[in-house]
Amino acid sequence: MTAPDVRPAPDDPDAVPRPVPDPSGPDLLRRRPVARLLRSRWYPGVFQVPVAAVFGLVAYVLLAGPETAHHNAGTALLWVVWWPLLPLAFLLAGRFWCAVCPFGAITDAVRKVVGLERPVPRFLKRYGIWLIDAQFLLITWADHVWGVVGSPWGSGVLLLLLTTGVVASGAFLQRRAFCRYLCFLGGLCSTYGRTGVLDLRADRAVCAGCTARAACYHGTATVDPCPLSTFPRTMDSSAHCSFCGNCVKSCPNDAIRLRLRPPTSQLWSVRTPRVEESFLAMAIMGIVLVQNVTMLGVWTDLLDLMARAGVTAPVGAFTIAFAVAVAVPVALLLAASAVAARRTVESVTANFARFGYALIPLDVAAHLAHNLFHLLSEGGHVTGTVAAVFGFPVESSAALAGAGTIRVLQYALLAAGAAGSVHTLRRLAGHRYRTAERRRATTAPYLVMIVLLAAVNAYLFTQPMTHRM
Amino acid sequence: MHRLSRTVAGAGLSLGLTLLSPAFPAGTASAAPPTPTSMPGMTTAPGMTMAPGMAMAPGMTMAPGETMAPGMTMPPGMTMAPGETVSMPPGMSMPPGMTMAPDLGTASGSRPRGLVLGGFALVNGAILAVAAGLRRRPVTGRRLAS
Repeated sequence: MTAPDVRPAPDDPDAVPRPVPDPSGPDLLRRRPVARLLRSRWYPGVFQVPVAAVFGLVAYVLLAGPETAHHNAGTALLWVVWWPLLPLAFLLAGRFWCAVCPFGAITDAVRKVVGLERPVPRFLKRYGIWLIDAQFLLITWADHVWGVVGSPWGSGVLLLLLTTGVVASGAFLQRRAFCRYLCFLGGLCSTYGRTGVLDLRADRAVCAGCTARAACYHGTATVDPCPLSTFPRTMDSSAHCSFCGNCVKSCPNDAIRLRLRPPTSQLWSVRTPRVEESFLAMAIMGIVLVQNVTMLGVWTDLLDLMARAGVTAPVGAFTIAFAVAVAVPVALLLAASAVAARRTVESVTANFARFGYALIPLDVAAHLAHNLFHLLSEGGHVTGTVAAVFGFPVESSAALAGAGTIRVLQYALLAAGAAGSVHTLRRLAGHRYRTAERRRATTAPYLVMIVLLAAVNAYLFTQPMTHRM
Repeated sequence: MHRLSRTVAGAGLSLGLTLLSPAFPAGTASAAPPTPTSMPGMTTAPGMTMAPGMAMAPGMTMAPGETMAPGMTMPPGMTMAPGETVSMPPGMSMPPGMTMAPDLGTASGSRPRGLVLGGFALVNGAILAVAAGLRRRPVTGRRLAS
């Protein structure tokens, strides 16, 4: 869903946003090792195989291993190592995880064996991101109500459910439809991946004279089509690119460029801002908040408060807290958009869609900072639990770093995220408005929001937190 | 390829039906009702309730007022939701009055492992079988015309 504009007068200097310049910078594909890697027939398989092996181990241990999270290597690998490190991977390599994800490999295998290759339904293309939003919220809710992260069995069941969705998608639909339109992790990847430094695009000047009938999109006799159904020529970010290298291999004109760009720069000039993507960014912020709150002592006070108000069932209390936590960032963004709309030429919806992207760097930072606690205070469990799977009892300390070190790193991350959000906000406003007054009028309410959310997160990180294992 | 797809689908269906069968002995993770598990060196605080199936980390101490792992304390009366585990690092403590619910699926003394895995194999086998069947369907005149 793209947002409607309140049309300004045609002679208004801000009638239309400034044109988006194509990214510049040295092309990494001009460097022989990078080009050879991406053009190799073994890429990305060479990364997929070890990831699939670890995934198989994780799934097996979750379903058949020790019943307590504390002793389960699957929980340690999945929630204490992989989940906290994933946002870091987004920063460094965007959506590269999707190229090596075992679910993607399962989709490809099913498609090859029984795939019907039906076109993706239009409703999925249009509303898939809302399904991702809903799925994200549902999984987080289910985690607290039935236990997913803290229960190896619950985590295993989640993997089985996802696998079923992947098998169904691979059996009936084209390409990696599940990854592109239904995977909640894919939604997270595309949102956070925009902060990444890797950027893949096609050189439009070269593409203008292309006669290869979009081989980069459709593939060739020897190269598969783009798994995420992305046409390099029309890309305005790498949100839907997994750097799988198919377009690099199939383009006969050598038009694909792979560049290193400043972090968050893909957010600065989004051509078609989408309400649902901004909503997802805000929902994730709410999820991070609620994840923090339920791990704190203040959560008990909130439960007491709700019990006095008549909500005694834990599920009901959590559902209320969850709904409020998710609604607060969305409502804040809506309020800031309404304030900005009063003195600018875009509607509340258009502002919501465009400037929601400014919150993504803070989102990533809050997510990373929260998970850093688990990684550094519980990461030591990995050695012991994984060794135990292979029959080697190893005594290991849980904490990899002291509480003071973790807190300093959390604040540093949060500060970097807030700075990234403020900078993105300025760039977005500068791209949209030529007049300084409108830029200021737009920036101010969102700035307040960024400061407020950063302060709430900073406060939460001062509080003691429970462990996952 | 068709033979392979039929084999995969058939294997999924057979496995699913086998796992779902009442005769399958491993239909539950634990046949006997679980008993509370406590490890050597563990002490519990007054008023604390331990649910069946609960396991605690070796060396875990739960005495009032003790500090927990990196700067952590848990307030009295705290309740852990079903599915939450009680595994905590050594040195962590819980104050009196804390109640812990059993881990997901252990409350009834069984985890429906056979049912879930059987259902998974059955559903996925059915999906693959349907797709394989539709793929094999010959192209008719009407479909060609459309």
